[in-house]
Amino acid sequence: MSDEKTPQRSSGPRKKRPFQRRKVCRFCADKQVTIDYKDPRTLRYFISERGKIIPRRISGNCSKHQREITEAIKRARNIALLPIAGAHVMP
Amino acid sequence: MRMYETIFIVKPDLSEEETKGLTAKVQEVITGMKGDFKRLEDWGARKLAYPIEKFNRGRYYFLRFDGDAPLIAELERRLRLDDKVLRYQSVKLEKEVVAPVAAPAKPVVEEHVEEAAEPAVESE
Repeated sequence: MSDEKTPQRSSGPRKKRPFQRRKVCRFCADKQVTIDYKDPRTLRYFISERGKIIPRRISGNCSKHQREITEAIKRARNIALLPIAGAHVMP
Repeated sequence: MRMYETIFIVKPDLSEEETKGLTAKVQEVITGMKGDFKRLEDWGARKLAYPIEKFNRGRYYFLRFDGDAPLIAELERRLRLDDKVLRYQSVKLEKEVVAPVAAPAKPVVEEHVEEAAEPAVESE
């Protein structure tokens, strides 16, 4: 009855996603790099143009380091080292 | 004793003696409440990522000290009451930061040329 539906759901490729190389966490690969809220240049890599924190599935961080990054970015925002939302246009 | 670091941003257009007075007062609070003053760094006037109280730039101070909870409460109270301070943030450190972070790596070059000559404010 639902023969034409089931193969499509289970094995059929609905969306052929191009194979992506598994990104490796930058901070696990290189132990020298530390996460610090006082260093906005490293943190800037992990925020988008609008100032949002880039999610783990895109940045490729492991969960431990993503947590540290998130904390650091939020601290840096408090003391105006990083923007809260995008770049402000000064009049 | 816990390890703390505090960053506070003061208004960029203060006179020399006003900043001197502020930093002296901060050290006085720490030593007066049996804290262990480690160092105070002047990062100079830097551009803020967003305006605070209509200021586009602010003068950053980085303070590193050991102390107890009443000390940090008093210090934050003083900073909060002070009009010259735009923003402050205290962080408790889990462990000693070994490498000094190169945070003041991009100093503002356009103005305050005399800052480079006096980074050691704590030597008084």
